[in-house]
Amino acid sequence: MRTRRKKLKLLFRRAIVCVCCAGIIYSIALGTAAMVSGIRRQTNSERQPASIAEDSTAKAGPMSKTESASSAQASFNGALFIGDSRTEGLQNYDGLSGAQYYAIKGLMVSTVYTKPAVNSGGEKVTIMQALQKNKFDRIYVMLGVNELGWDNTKTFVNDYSKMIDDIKRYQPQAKIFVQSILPVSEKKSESDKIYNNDKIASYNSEIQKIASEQNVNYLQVNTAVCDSTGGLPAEASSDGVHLNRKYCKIWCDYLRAHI
Amino acid sequence: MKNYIALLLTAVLLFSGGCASKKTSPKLDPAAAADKLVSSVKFTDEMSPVDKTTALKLYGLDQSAVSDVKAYESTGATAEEIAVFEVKDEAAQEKVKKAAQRRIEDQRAGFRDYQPKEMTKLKNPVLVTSGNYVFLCICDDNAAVQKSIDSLLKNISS
Repeated sequence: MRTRRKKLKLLFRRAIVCVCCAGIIYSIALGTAAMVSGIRRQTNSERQPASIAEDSTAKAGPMSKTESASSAQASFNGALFIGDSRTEGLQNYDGLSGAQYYAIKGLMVSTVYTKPAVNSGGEKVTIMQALQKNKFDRIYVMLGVNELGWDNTKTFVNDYSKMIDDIKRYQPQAKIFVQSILPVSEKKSESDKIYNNDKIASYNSEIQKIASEQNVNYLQVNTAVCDSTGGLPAEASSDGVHLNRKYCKIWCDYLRAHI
Repeated sequence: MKNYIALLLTAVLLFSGGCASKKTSPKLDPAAAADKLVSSVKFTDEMSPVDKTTALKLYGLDQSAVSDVKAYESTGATAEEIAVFEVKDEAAQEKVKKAAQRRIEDQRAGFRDYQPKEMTKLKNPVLVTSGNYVFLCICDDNAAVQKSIDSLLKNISS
């Protein structure tokens, strides 16, 4: 009887030890799993900045991510875009990876000499001052829409020519592209004595002549974004002047195709 | 035997306590937050998302201060804009806040003569900093923006 009780006691003790051991193993497994998942979470958060860089190529519209990254980076490194608020829009939605922008609202062929527009060493300098400091392989210019109200087209032509002269002087190595002024919508054109498509066509004709005289490239970007009337389609812009994302991408596609 | 078991149990409690996952406070996804702002607030212009590299460039920032960012820009016809930043630490929060203030100043300088009516939106835009997040929203309806941001922040603090 005593031996039986002893055996039972021993069995009970062994059972307790077994339960404890099982508990220990289970707890260790839980702790290890928590530790591993914590490390994994930390690693992921450390990787987040990389995703910012990767995303830079994710905006190229119909092209695949890989195609867009390779063609855009190969094409527009060393390229500079000079322009007004419409070029600012291009900067926001461009997909021209590697391109740099000296773009500011209301910029004109005269104010490239006077308007502080480019951050340089902690201060803002004019575009012409910045062009004396930094070198580019290609320079794209789109200016003219803000000058449509000028009294004298000759002043515009003289100032435009002078600007191209100076760009050539400061950037002798660069290939220069002047872009035609983009149209406005038909609604805007019909309601505005200054900002209308007849006037834009007249200015574009002058810009084309300047390009020919100065031996620089002329890009008819207006043809890429206009409808059958020659104006900007109503769906392209909220105010009839500034292009939305979709039409900025069409503009980009034209630029890619005309390097 | 009793001592042995007590020792083992203590060890187990200590180990599981030390290794158990730290309860992290819920995070806010800048992309989801910016999407909520663009859908819950009325904008007069067409708002489109910009990629992260462009957003950082617009604000003169880099990845040293910002973990994540989502921004929406208008076409340029208006000054309307949304940016939600997740910053890396307290020092970064101050840096991003200053960058946002600089951006507001730049936009004021740009629109002052170009589109003077946009100065109403730029007079007092909503700039909120909370924990690791910085929000900027430029539009006509500051009350709606503030309400949306409060709701977003409530979700991460509760």
